[in-house]
Amino acid sequence: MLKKRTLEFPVAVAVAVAVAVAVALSQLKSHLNEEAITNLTTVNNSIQISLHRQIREISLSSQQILKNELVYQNIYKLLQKPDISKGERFNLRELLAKHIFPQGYKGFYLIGKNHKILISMKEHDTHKPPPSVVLNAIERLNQGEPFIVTHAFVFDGKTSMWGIASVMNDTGKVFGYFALSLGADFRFSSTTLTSGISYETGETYLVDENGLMLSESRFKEHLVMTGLLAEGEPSTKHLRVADPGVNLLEANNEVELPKDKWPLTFGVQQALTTHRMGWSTTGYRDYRGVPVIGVWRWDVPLQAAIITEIDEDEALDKYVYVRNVMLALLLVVVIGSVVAVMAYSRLRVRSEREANYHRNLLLESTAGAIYGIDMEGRCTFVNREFLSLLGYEEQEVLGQTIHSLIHHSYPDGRPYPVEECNIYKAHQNQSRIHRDDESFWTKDGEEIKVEYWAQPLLEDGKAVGSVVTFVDITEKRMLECEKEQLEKQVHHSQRLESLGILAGGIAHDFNNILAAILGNASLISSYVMKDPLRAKERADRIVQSAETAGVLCKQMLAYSGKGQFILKSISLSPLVEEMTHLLEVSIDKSVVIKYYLADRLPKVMVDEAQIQQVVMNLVTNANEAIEGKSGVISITTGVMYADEQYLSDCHAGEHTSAGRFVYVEVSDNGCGMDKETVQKIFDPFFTTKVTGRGLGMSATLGIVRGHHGALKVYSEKGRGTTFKLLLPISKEEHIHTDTATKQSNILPPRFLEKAVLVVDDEETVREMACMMLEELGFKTIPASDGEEALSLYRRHQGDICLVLTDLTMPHMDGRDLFIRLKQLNSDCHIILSSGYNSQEAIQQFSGKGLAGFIQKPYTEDTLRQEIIKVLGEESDNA
Amino acid sequence: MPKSIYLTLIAICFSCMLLQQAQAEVITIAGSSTIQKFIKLAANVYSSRHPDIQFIIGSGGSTAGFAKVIDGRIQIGMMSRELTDDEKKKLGSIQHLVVGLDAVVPVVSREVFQAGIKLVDLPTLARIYQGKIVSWNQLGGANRKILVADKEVHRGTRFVFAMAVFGDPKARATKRAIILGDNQEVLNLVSSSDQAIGYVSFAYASGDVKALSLKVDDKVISPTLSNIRNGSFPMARKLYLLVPKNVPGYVADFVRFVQSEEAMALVKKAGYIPVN
Repeated sequence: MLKKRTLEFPVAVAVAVAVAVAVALSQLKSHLNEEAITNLTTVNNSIQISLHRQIREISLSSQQILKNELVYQNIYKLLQKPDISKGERFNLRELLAKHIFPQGYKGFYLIGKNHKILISMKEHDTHKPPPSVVLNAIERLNQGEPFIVTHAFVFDGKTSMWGIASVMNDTGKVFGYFALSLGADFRFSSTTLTSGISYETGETYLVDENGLMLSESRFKEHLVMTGLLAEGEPSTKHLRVADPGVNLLEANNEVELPKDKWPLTFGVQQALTTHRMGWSTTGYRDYRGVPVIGVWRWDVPLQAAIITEIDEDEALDKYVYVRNVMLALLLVVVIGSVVAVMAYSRLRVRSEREANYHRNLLLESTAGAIYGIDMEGRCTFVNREFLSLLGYEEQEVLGQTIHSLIHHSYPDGRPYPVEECNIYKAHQNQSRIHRDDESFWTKDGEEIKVEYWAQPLLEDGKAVGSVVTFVDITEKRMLECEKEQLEKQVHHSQRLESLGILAGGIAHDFNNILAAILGNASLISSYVMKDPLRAKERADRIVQSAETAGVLCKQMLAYSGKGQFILKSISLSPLVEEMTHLLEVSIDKSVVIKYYLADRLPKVMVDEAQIQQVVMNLVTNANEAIEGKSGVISITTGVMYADEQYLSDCHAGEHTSAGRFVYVEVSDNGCGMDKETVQKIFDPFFTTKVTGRGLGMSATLGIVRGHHGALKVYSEKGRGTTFKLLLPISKEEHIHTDTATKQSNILPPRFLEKAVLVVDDEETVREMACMMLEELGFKTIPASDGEEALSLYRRHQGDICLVLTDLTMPHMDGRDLFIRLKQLNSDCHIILSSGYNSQEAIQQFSGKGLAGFIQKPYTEDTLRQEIIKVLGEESDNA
Repeated sequence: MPKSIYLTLIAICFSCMLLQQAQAEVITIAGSSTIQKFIKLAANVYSSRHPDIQFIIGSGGSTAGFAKVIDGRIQIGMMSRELTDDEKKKLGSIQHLVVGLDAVVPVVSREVFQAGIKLVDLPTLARIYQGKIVSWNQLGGANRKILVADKEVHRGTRFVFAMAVFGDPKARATKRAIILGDNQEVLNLVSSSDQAIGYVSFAYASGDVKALSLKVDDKVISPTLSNIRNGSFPMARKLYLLVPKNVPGYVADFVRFVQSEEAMALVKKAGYIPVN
C-alpha cells in the first residue's frame, strides 16, 4: 500500500518529463527537418543556377568560336560544299583545335543539314549519324532554341555531352549544326560534385525522364561495392535511380526484386510525374536504399530532374544526439526520483516501524488488557496483558468473534446473547461504554470480574470497530466483599463493646434501683404496720424505681435492636433526648453533659439504632478523652448548609453532595488529638485506649457514609475535640411540607422566584428559616450578621422582596440593619424576629415602617402567615 | 581591485587565443600544373588534419611559379624543370626542394598507335615538331596527316621536352602546331583525335592516349618508373618546390609534410615518382 502510493510520485514525474521530452523532441525533429529541407532547397537552387550559367557560358564560348571570321568562313564554305576533301577536313581540325582545346573542350562536330557528321576531330566519324540525343537537340534547335546542351550520352564508346548551336547566315538560314564536346570541366558533374555536395552525405544529381542518372554519383564506392556499377564505370547514364527496397549498405539485407524491377525512388517519381518542385521531410530510400530527406525539381532547359538529398541519419544526427542526451537525462531523472522515493519510503517505513514499535511496546506494556474488534465483532488486535489474563494464544483470538470466546455468559452463569453485548454497542451506537459489573471468561472457563471501557474506533467520522480496555477486578471485588463483611463484624462487635460498657453502667443503675426497691421494700415491711402512710410513700418510691428501671430497659431494647437496618424518618433532637439516661450512665460521674438541642429540626431518614450507636460512640470517646477528670461534653443539634468546600474537609461518603444537613455535634474539653492521630482515628483497630478494640470510629464512619452523611473532626491537643455528624435532610420532609404549602400557599405569583434575605447569627435558626421560605417558593440569601446582610442587599437589591432579620446580632444588630436598609430603600419589607415579646419590639420600632414581627421560636405556619400578611398587604396596596 | 585586473587580463588572453584559433591561415601556392596534381592531394590530406589551414593552389606553369615566389606574391612555387642560369642568379636565399621525379612522355592518338607507331627516336620527334614530317605514313603509319600538339613556352613540360628534343628550351616548333596549356588540354586533343601527337607529364600518359617508347642509341626505352628513376629515360625531370626561408611556421610545417614519407605515397598516387 505504502509502496504503491509512494511510487505514484516518480511515475507521475517520469510521465510528465517523458511527455515534455517527447513534445520537445518532436518539435526539434520537425525543426531540424525543416532546416535540412531549407538547406537542401538552397543547394538545389544554386545547382540549378550554376547549371544554367554553365549552359550560358558554353553557349557564349561556342558563339565566340563561330564568330571568329576565319572559322565562320571556313565552316560556312565547307557546309555548302557537297563533298569535303580529307585535306579540307584536316585544315579545319587544325584551325578549330587552336580555338577549342585551350578552352577545355574535347572536340567539335560539324553536322550537315542531312543530320550527318561532316567533320570532327576524328576522320572516321565522317558521315556517321549523330546519336539520337543529338538529333533530338537538333529538333529543338530547329524549333527555335538558340543553344542546347545535351544530356550525357555514349558516343564512340565514351560518355559525352555536347553543346549544339545552329550555323546560320545573317538572314537566319540554317546551314548546319556546330557541336562542342564538353570536357570534364563542363559536364554537369563538375557542378553537382562540387557545389551540390554538402556535409558528409548531401549530394545533388540529375536524372533524365527515364530515371537514369545524368551526373556522377558521390557514392561511387558504395555503388561499386553493392554491385550497381562496375569498377571504373561512370554513373552517368549507367545508373537507374531506383529504390532497392532495402538498405544495400547494410550487410544482411537481401534484395527481393531484380534490379530492373525496382521502382524509381520516391524523389525521382515525384519529379518525373509532377514536373514540380517538391520535398519530403518524412524520408524515403535513395538508389542505395539509404533513408534520405530530399528536395527535387524538374528543370525544363536541362530536361532533367535536379535532386538534392541528404542521409536522414546525418540530417537528424543533432536530433539523435539531443534525443539520446534527453533520454539519458530522463533515465537519470527517473532513476534518481525512484531512488529518492525509495530512500524516502524506506526512511518512512523505518520511522513508522519505530513508531509502531513504541506504540506496540506501550500497548504491550500497559497494565490494562486491550483488544480491538471490527464491525462484525471479530478480534483485530490483542495485547500481551489480554493473553496473559485470559490464557489464549494470539492466533486463537485474532479473527474470532470475541464475544463467544470471552464474554459468553453473565456473572451469574446465564448465557449472554451476542445481541445484548454491551461492548458491541460501542461501535454499533458510536458511544463510549463503561461497565464494572460483567465478567470475562478465560480459556479454561474461569470467571474474571472485569471493569471495561469500550470506545468506538472512528475513521472519518464513521465507526470501523472499537477498542476495549479492561482490568481484572476479581480481587478488588473480593476485597470489597471482605471489607463489607469485616465492617459488619466490626459493627457487631462494636455494638457488643458498647453493650459491655452499657451493661456495666446499667448494672450499676439497676443495682441502685434494686437497692432502692429493696431498701424501700424492707422499710415498707417495717412501716406497713406502724405507719401505713410512710409505707405507702415507700411503696410509691418502689413504683417510681420500677418505672425508672422500665425506662432503662426500654432504652436498652431500642439500642440493641435486632441489628436490622431500618430507615425511618426521625428528628434528631428527640433521638438524642431519648438517649440522655443511657448516655449519662455511660460516662464518668465527674463529667457533665450539656444539651443544646434545636426544636423542630427537619427530619432525617436514618436507622435509629445506628445513629444512636454513633452518638453513643462519640459520647463515650469524649468521656474517655476527659480521662476521668471533671469536664463537660456538649451535644448540639441544628441545621446547616454545607457546600462542596466544607464537605471536602469532612469525611464524607461518595454520594454526599452539597446541601442542607441536620447535624449533631459532640464536643469535649478533654485531651484533644494531634494531627497524626486525627488522620488515623477512622482506621479499624486503631485505638488509644488500653481496653478498646479500635473499632468505634471506623464503624461510626461506615454508618455515616451509609447514610450519605459526613463527619467533621476538629481537634486541638490539650483543648478538646469536636465531632460534627451531618445527615442529609430527608426528602419525605420536603414532600410533606410541599403538600402543606400547596394547601395554604396564597402568595401572589409575582413574589415567586423572588428572594428573601435571611439574617440571623444563629445558623440553625437561619437555615431553618431558609428552608421554610424555600418551601414557600422563595429563593433565600442567608447572612450571618447585619454588615453581611447590608452588603448582600446592595448586591441583590432587585431580587430581594423581603428581609427577615434577627434583632440581637454581633457587629450590627437588627435595629441598625433596619435603619440602614430603610435608608437604602424606604419601601423595603422587613420582618423582625426575636425572643423578646412582640410588644416590646414593636414599641421600639413604632412608626418606623416595620412590616412585621415574628416571635421566636416560630413554626412554618407562623412564618407563612406573617409573610402572607406582609406581602398580601403589599399586594392589596398594589 | 588587482584581482579584477588579473581576471580582465586573463579574459583578454583567452579571447586573443580564441581569435587566433578562429582565424584560418592561408597558404598560397602556384606554378607547374605537373606538381599541382600532387600538391592538391597533399593539401587535401594536410587540411583534413589542420582545418584552420586553407590553400589557394594556382597553376600557370613553372616559370610563372618562379616569378611569383621571387616577387613574394605566393609562399610556395612549383617548378617542374631545372632552373635556368638567370633564375639561379635570382634565386637568392629561396630553397629549392625536390619533391619527386617526373618524365615527359610523347603520346599519340590510339588509332595512330594501333596503326603501328609505337616507337620514336628524338631526332624524328624533332622533325615532326619542326613540321618536316607531316604524315604518319612517313613513319610507317596510316595515311593521315600529323596533328601536332605543342605546349606554351613557359611550361615546365615543354622546357624538358625542348631541351631533350631540340637541345634548346626555347626552340620553336612548326607554326601549324597547336599550342596548348596544361597536360589535360593535350590529353583532350590527342584523345579526341585519331591523328595527333603531343607530350605530357608521365602521370597523364595513360587511358585514351598512348605513350611512345624512345629509341636511344638503338635501345628502346619505355616510359616506365624504373627507367625514369634510373635515368635511362631521357626526358626525365625533377619536381621542385621553391620555398623562401622566411616563410611563417605553418608554411614551413606544410613543406615538412610534403617531404615526409607519407607525402611520398601521394606523389606515387599522383603518378610521379618519389624521390627515394
